[in-house]
Amino acid sequence: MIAVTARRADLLRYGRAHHLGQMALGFAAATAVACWAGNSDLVLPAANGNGWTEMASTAATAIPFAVFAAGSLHSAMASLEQAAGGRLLKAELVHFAGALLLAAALIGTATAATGSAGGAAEAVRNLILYAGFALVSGRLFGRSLSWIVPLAGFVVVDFWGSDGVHPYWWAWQFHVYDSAWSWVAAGACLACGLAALLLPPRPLTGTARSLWPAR
Amino acid sequence: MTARVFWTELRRSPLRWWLPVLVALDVAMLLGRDTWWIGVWPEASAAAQLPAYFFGLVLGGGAAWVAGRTHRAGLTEQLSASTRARWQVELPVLAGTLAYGLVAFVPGVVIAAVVSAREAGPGFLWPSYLALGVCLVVLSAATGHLAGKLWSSRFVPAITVAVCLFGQTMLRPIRFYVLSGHPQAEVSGPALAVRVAFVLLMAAFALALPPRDARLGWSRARGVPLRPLAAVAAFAGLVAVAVAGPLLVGRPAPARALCSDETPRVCLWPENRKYLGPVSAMVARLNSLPGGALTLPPTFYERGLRAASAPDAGADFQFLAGDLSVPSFLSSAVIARTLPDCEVPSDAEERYSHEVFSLDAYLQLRGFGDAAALGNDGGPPGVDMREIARVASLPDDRQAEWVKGRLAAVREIGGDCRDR
Amino acid sequence: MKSVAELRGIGQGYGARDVIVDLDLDVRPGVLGLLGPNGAGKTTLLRTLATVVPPKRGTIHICGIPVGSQRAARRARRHIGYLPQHFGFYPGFTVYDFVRYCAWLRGVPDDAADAAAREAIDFVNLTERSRARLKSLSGGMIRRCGIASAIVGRPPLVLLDEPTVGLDPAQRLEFRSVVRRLRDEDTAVVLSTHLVEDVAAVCDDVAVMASGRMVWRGDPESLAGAARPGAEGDSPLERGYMSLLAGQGALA
Repeated sequence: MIAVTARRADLLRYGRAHHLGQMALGFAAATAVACWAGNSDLVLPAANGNGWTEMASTAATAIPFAVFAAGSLHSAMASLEQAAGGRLLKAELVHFAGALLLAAALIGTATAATGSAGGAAEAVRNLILYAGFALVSGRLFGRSLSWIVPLAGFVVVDFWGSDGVHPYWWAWQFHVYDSAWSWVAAGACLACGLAALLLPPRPLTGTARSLWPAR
Repeated sequence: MTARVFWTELRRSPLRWWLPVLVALDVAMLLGRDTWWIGVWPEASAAAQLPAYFFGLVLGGGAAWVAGRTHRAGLTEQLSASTRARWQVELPVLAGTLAYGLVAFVPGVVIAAVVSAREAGPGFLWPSYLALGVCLVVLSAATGHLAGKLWSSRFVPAITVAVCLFGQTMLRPIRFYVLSGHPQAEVSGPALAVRVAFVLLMAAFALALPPRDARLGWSRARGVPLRPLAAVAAFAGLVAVAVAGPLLVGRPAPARALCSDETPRVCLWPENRKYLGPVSAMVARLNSLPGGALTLPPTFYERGLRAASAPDAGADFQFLAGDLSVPSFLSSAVIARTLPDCEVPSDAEERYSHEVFSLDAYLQLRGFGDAAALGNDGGPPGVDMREIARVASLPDDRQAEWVKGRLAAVREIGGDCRDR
Repeated sequence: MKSVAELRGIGQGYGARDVIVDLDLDVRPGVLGLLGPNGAGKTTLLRTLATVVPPKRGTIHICGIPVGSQRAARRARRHIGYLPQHFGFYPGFTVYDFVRYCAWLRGVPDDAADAAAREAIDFVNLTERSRARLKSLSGGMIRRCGIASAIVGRPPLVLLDEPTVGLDPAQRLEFRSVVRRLRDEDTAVVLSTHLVEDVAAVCDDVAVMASGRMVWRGDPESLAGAARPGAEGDSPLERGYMSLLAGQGALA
């Protein structure tokens, strides 16, 4: 009993250091946006002949969930955590998996409730995709900046991802939920992200430090 | 603010690394898209303005990150102890962020002007569209700066990006961008003025509001709830933007339309001068069908040149993403004058429609003169576009026979028909 | 005495710039003071010893564990207490939470972590403030918390990067007594500092670094003996240190 209480207290401390309260608030706000957007389409500027593209809102509503899930891996005590043992990595993996599952449940439920089941599936797929991007971004620029690669991915896919009628093969966010290829791609992106999370720290590089100050 | 402080800020801003990316994005977005906007000043202006939407997302997050340096470096207290007013300290930071955003915006504007100049009609880039783009850049940067200054959370930049994305995408009344710029429309003066005022208000808040963890100190405003008041003012500003009316409004017809010399005439908005040749050629191809099978109106007008109440004004042509849309309008105008007015029995409607659709598809193809550009797929329902393309490749007299055959079929199906 | 940490042929650097050049170091129980001017590579050496950054060249052994991979580094970190010069903390944590969390990070067994945290807090004389939030503490107390976080679970190797920066004289005296007690318990402490007085007070062994190289190693008395006539400095140790640096051209 004491051990369980101690473990819970450990987890609570981990959660406080990793902004889990803020992540919960972020998830709540993102869920509200997902409910509001429902299954509606967003009309955004694009490169095709029309000059705009109409995309399912889930191509955008999944981004905040992914960024909050990956961004919460940042810790207020990052400088001390650098020298942590293997326990921290396990905790981070459990943390990320839990956050991703919770995000999937929230966006899936919100989109299904206000849109359609197919839209909910697309939302979950896009969440997986952007979560991979966010982890890669955290690795490249620091965990506080987990939003950079997902945003870049969104911009590229939104602007160049469709010929005005059909999405291109690589614009996975635009594919309908039964496109097996898009699910494979989303899974591959998440795998890349997890690999980025598990990779050992980089050797010292001056460039990376000056691109975005670590603090 | 001395130039030196501003220069220092430019050199230390993390955005300096992203300037080439933003410039590349600007150029790629302009040249990497369909090129129908080239040569039409309002369209070119709107196209040059469009990257501002994406810059807004990047700059919103970037500005929040840059402004958050104060928290991350633990400088809040030092800045509170500065001999300078808060806005003087903040100004170089915000100005640096804006400089990067606006500098990245310039190449696109220059390219839009250069590539359009050769074939464009009268005028130049429309400042109202560019002002709209600048407004969006400044608004995003100011919002990000304010958020990054007020809250120290690591999530603030990401939240700012989300606010910019969903705010601009899902709240249509408060949009700060347009997708295209037809000559028939222009940016509403009042709507733009209110937006400019709102942007200035937000920039002022970004500069002058104290961070949440800073004391109000000796300020005379001590005791005044500055931040709640600012929140109310910002909300009121948003409401004002929303009620200022639509961003794009119709333009009055030009005093003199640009018309061709041939008969039938083609009249366009002067800004669409580059299309006069192509559209005149389309009309000439329709007019050249021998045998007098077709009846063409004496003048084909572009939409907006004459009152909507004018006879046949509903069939006036429009340029929707270039001149690909024009043959459809021309065909409709010709069919409206060529087809007899028939009382079609209900059991013959399908056959009747098929004949009319076939004729419509043929006229579009003959007008445009390029079957591949219109595509073999699609077309009106039930019409074999390959067959239509084959007809359009026959000698003119054989095409005229085919058209007469369709018209005869229409008369036969229609039963009780009167010539128009 | 057996080495707690062994570095052989270590090279580190940012891009083409070398920060540490071909460095060998044995760390044994006792207090090793790392002296050197700014940019000498002291912090990089400590980060390398803490296995936070992999070396570009060379090998590291911590308590007999060859650190050649991330997995090995994590295993080795159970034996290392590391206090960076600028350490972040969650301001809402109490002193106990902070130290207990660091015990958890280090992998101190659950059944021993609570006692270890209390002992570490007691060691730095913060027991009475153990329920105070970090945001309410003075800079000196926060430093002591940091030291407690580094020694929690009694790792055999403790790395302290500029731990006395910002401490008042009384707090520095207190810090020295903490380090002496660690020494008395056979802990290997590596102390990076600019302050020669700290070295004189607590170190058994001194390493002087300049331009990424270890230019001198010996005991404090020998360092004092290295002073050249006319060397600058207010104490024999300072004069010895300044003489060494002048000999290396590091003062330029």
